[in-house]
Formats: sequence, C-alpha cells, structure tokens
Amino acid sequence: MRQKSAVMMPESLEHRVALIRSLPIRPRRAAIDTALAAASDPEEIERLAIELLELSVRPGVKTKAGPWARRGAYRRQLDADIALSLLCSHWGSLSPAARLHTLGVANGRWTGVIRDLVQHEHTNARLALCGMALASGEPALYEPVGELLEDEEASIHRAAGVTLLSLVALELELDPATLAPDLGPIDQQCLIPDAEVQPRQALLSVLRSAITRYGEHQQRSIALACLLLIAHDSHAHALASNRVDHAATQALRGVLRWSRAPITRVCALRLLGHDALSDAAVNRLSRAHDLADHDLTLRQGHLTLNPTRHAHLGKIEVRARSTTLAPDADGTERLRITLPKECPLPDGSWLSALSPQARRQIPRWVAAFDTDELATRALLDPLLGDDDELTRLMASRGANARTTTDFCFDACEPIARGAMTRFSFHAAAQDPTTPTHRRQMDTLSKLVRSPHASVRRMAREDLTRLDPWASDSSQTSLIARRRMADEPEAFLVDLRHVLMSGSALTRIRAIGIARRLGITDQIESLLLSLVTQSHGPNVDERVVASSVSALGSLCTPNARQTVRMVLRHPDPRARANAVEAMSKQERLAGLTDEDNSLRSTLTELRGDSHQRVRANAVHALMALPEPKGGAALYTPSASSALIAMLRDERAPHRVSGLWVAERSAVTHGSALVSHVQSLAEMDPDRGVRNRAHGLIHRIEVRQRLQSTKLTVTADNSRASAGQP
Amino acid sequence: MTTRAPNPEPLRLITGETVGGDPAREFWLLVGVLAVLFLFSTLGAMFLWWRRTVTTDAGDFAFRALARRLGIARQDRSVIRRLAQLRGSAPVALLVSPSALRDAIEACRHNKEANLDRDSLDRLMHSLATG
Repeated sequence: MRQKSAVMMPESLEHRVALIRSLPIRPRRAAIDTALAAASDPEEIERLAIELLELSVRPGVKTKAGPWARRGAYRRQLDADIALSLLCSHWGSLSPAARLHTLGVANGRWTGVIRDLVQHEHTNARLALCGMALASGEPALYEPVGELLEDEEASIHRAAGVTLLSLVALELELDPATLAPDLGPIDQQCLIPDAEVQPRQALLSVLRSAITRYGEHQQRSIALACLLLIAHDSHAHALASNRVDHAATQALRGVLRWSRAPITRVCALRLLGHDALSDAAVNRLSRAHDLADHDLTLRQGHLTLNPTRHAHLGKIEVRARSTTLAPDADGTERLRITLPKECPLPDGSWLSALSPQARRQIPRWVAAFDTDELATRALLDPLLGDDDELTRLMASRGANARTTTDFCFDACEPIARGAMTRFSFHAAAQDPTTPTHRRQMDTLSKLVRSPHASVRRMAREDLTRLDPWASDSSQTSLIARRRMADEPEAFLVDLRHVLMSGSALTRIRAIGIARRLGITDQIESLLLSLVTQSHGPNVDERVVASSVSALGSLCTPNARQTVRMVLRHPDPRARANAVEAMSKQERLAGLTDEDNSLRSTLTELRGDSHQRVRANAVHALMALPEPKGGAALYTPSASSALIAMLRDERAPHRVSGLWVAERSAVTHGSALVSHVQSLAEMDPDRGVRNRAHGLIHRIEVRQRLQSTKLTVTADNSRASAGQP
Repeated sequence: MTTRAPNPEPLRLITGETVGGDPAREFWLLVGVLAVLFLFSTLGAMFLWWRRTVTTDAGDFAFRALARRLGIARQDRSVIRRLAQLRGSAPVALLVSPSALRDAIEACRHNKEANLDRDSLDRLMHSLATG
C-alpha cells in the first residue's frame, strides 16, 4: 500500500484534472475551487481557472425540449452560475488572460455574480467585485461597489472608495499620476463593456448616493471622486451642496484644500466660481507643492481668462524678496530676487523641468495673480530667453516696455511682429529734437531692414506716421498737408529744422513736400542758403538740385540770381534743374525776354557736354516766344539744336533729343519726324531705336486724336450755323 | 359447407364456495414482490445517501473519491487531512494542487506544533521529488 501511495504523487496536474472530471459536478466544482484558493503556482492556477471557466459556461435550453429536459438544463445553468461566481471570487489570483475570459463569460450574467459576491464570507471574494468593476468598467457593478463602502472590513471599504475614484479617473481620461498620492496606478481595462447604461450616469448615481452617506463611511477617495466629476462635468454640480455646513460639502472643501494630488489644484482652478468651494479653491491655488503640481496647473492658464476666475485669482498675492549681493568687479550692484516657499508660481530654478506648455502659460498666471514688480521680474525675465518660441512670445507680451524693442529683432516672426505691434502702439509723434524721438527713429530705421516682411511693413508705416519727411509716399504728403492745415506754425518749424539739420535724403523729401504744398516761399531763405553753400563739404549735390528746382517757382530777384548762378555749377543735375527753374521763373514772371538775355544763355547751354542740361536748354529754347527778329530767327535755331542732338554720335544725347522732340510740337511729316524715323530704323543703339519707335507711334496717335477733334468741332459749328 | 359453433365457457356450478388457487405459488409471488420492493427501497436509500453526501460535503466526497482513485494509503490520507487542517484549506485542494501540497509540507516542517510524523512527510516529499 505504501508503495502504491508513493507511485501516486508524481502524477501530473493533467492527470488529476482528468480524475476530477469524472466526479459529479458539485464535488468537481468544490475540488477546483479549494485548489484554486490554495495553489501558489501560476501555471496551476491558470489550468484550474480554465477548468472552472469551462464549468461556468451556460448550456443552452432547447425551446422544444420537454419539461424534464428543460428542468435538467435549468439545473445545469444554475450550476454554471455558481461556478462563475466561484471563478470571480478568485479574481485576485487570476492571470490577465483568465480575467479577460472570465469577463467575457460573465458579461450579461452579473446579477447572480453580484448577489453571490457582495455577501460572500471571504474578504477576497468581496474585493474581487471591486477588481472586476475596475477592470470591466461594467456599470452594473458600480452600485454593489458603492454598497461595499459600508463594509465592516476596512480594506474592503477602502478598496471600494479607491475603485470608484479610479473609475472616475478612467471616465474622465485623467492620468493616474496626477491623482498621486491619493491614488496609485490603475489596472488597465480588460474589456470595453457593451453597457446599456452610460458609465458616467451610473457613476454619478453611485457617487451621489455615496457622498450623501459620507458621514457613515468617511472615504476621502469618494470626496475626491466627486470633486473630479464636479470640476470636469457640468452635470455633476448637484454632487456638491451649496450649503457650506453640509457634511458632504465640508468633505469636498477639505479635500480641495488639503489634498496634495496635482489634479486637485486643477479642480480648484475650475471650481473658483462655485459658491461653496471658491474659498477652498483659492486656498489650494495659493500653494504648489511640487513640480507636477506646478506643471499641471500652469497648463490650464487659458482658464484664468474667465472674468470670475480672474477676480478670485486676484486675491492671491505673490510677493518676492530681494537681497543685495556683493558688487561685481566693476562695482555694479546685483539683486537676488527670491520667491517664498510653496509659491503658487515657479521661479527660474523650476523652468528647465517644466513642460513647454506650462512655461507658455506663466505670463497669464502672472497677470491673473496679484504680483508685485519684483515677482514679475523674477517670473518673466527667465522666460524672455527661453528656447521655445511660443514661450518667448507669451513672455514678451507681459514683459516690461523697455524690453519691447529688443523683441522687435527676434528671429521668430510672430514674436517680432507682436513686439512691433506693441512698439507701434506706444510710439507717438514727438518733437523731433527730443532724444526719445531720435531713439524711435533709429529703431525704426533699423527695423525697415528686418528679415520679416510684416515687421518691415509696420516699421515703414510707423516711420511715415512719426516722421513725415521719412518717405515719398502719398500717405506722407497727406499727413504733411493735414499738419500744415492743423498747425502750420509747428509744421513750418519742423520743416525748417529738417532742412537745416536733416540728412540729405530727408532734406530732399522735405523740399519735395514744400513744393507739393506750395510753401516754398516760406523757406526761400533756407533754399537760398542750401544753394549758396553748395560748395561746402557737407552739402549733397542732390540737395542743391532739389533746392534749385524749388526756387524755380519763386520770382524774387534773389531766387533768379541764385538760379542763374547755379547754371555754372559743376554738377550736371544741378545745372539741368537750374535751366528748368530759370525757364519757369521767366514764364511765371511773364517776361518776354526783350533783351534776348535768356535766349543767349540757353543758346550757350545747348552745347553743354551733359545730355540732360543740353536737353533742358533746347526744350526751353523751343518754348520761348518768337524773338523780336521774327520766326526765321527762332525756329531754325531751336530746331537745328534739336536735330543736332538727334544726330549726335553719343547715344544718351540722342535719347535726350527724343525726349525733347516728344515734348515739342512735332507734327507728322515735319523734318523732325523724318529724323526720328531714321533713328527708329537705322540707329545702331537698340534703346534709341525702341524709344524712336515709341515716339513715332505716340505722334501718330496724337495727330489722329487732333484730326478727330477738329472734325467734331467743324460738325458742331456747322450744326450751330444750320448748315446740312 | 358446415359452420362450427364457438367453443363455449365450461359450465360451473354456483355453490357459494370461493375458487381456490395454488397456495405455494401465491406465497412465492408475495415474497418476490416484497423482495423487489426491498431492493428498490434500498437502492433509493443508497442513492439518497450518496446524493446527500455529495451535496452536503462535496469537498470531502471529492477528497475521498480522488484519494481512492489515486490509490492513496489510509495513513497518507490522514497526513494530508492533518496538513490541510494546519494550512487552513480543504484536503482535496492538496490532492489537486501539487504546489499547495508542497507548500503545506514545507510549512509543516517549520511548524513544531504540527505533531506529524517526519517519516510521513519525508515519504510525501520523496514522492514529490520523484515527480
């Protein structure tokens, strides 16, 4: 017998399972159940669980079966339900795969399982209910878990509370790490339930019941779960009573105020507008315990823009302390700014550990809290050099105005554009003599060369707005015209200042504006001085040329004398403008050149070496009225000068000749036109040929228009005379 | 063609006395019926006993059935029952699960109050080791 016994033991588990299978159903179930409870080998547990799982599968009942067959089938179904309950009671020791299969078999059969497990004598069986509820997410299991909150066993009601909190976290898709230390890691869901009841509604129902019974179970996790739902779901507001003295409200306030879980700080931010919870929320927001606490809350910075929240956040003071450090080698004193412990906002030492999303929101928080100047500097200055572009952008918005200019030069276009917008907003037209104005102008003159198109455009617009002499645009003229109309004295002062001390370009633009406004007579003396000092080292020839042009509209003796003086200026542009100005002065003065002095001067200048001077002289000659000596004296002289230009061997002179020909009363068929035609056909220079072609075309068009006009005029006159 | 008349019942004279059978035959008939009734009632009682045993103490039934089928000696059964008692689990669990039995033996070795024969434990361990 002893020998026989010794032979028994090496038999494998499979053999024993085969022997068990030959037993009646109840002993078989009992053997597997007790073995599952006692086994420690995972493989054994897996095998035994499969065996019990097999017993848990419900057999079908044939609809056409007889009463005896039906009764037998129902009995087998009952046995299967008992086996399922037994299997579920071992939930804690089952492998993930076995759990998944168990949930699959149990789906739709929860009533019996819940009935057996809720009042099971073993702690593990009742705990299994919590595990299954969490793993399956099955709403039918929430209610029994809620009942377990009042279980006699401390571990059970604690587990029930944590289960409900975990379910809320899963429902709200919250990261379990944000609930630490109130909640550990959550088991991953094994099965997505095909539930008829919405999980959130079931959770709300259970939690509503649980929070009203808070005095009996006092589970902190239930209060936290309710808080999460209230903060994230507007339908859950009924979970919190507006009565401050209510036990449930007290619990919620306590958790909100004292929980160190980072998510509670986010809840506090969301619940700032809640009547019964707002002061606890303010209290929680005024403290941050660790990095996760800072990071999670800072990310929600957009919520601070809500006016109600903003008003409550303004109650939180952030004050910094400054300590004077030992001076540097160059004697500069330095300040160390420190924020208090558990400050609601992170100082520079935390920045590198914070996520970019959190860093970007810090300026919004700084704006929301009651932050003093020192604290603002301590919080924002480190962000100004952040690697993240959006962080710099957000920080630059809240930074001191003195740093705005620096950000206009940022490599990131949105940052530079934002800073440029602020710069434009603050920059105002000021007295040009002030240092502020000069600084603004310097900055803008650099910004017009910015790599960002938007910044360049804004800088140009600002230049125009702040300095009417800065560009030649029509907007500049309009601004100058308005200023002249509104405050002529101040405008003339500015104009004279620019002409005296401005750059060459600015002077030229100022002269142009004065000519367009017709106020050259107001600045005659300055124009004269600009021309007479034209030989100085600091005077630009372009300024002289512009001044001479402006003097052309003045007929004073000084102006005329000065213009004639410039006819001998070494710069051809100045000489050319002087020829034009002289001609214009003569016309304006209505002089008839009786002494032929102008004619002789122009005749002398028609042989100038520079084409522009020569062209102006010929053009002016052709515009002169007939001399006293008769047409014979005039016409050949001017025409021959023009023909000589058109025949000149230098291409620029021929081009200038065409320019004069176009502006003269040249008609088709005249001698000049034949010269132009020969240029268009045979000139060796392509540019000259093209210009000549264009001129001939325009002459033809002009003549056609004139003949049409003449015909219409003749018809009209015949019609008025009554002729057919 | 002739027709035969049906065979009529034999004629009996009604005298008022009962018609008597064979007494021995009737006795044995009665004995047979009683024997059948006894057999069925015995079988029914056995079935009910078996069923009650299975229903009320399924675990013990399973232990005995398994032990019998595995051919475990009587003294070994008592050792296993004692081990299960010390461990706080059902005896059948130790029969079904080798790891549970191994754990129970190990725990018993370190338990001075177990009062179990070391030879029995060694024999169980040996049998486990050979497996």
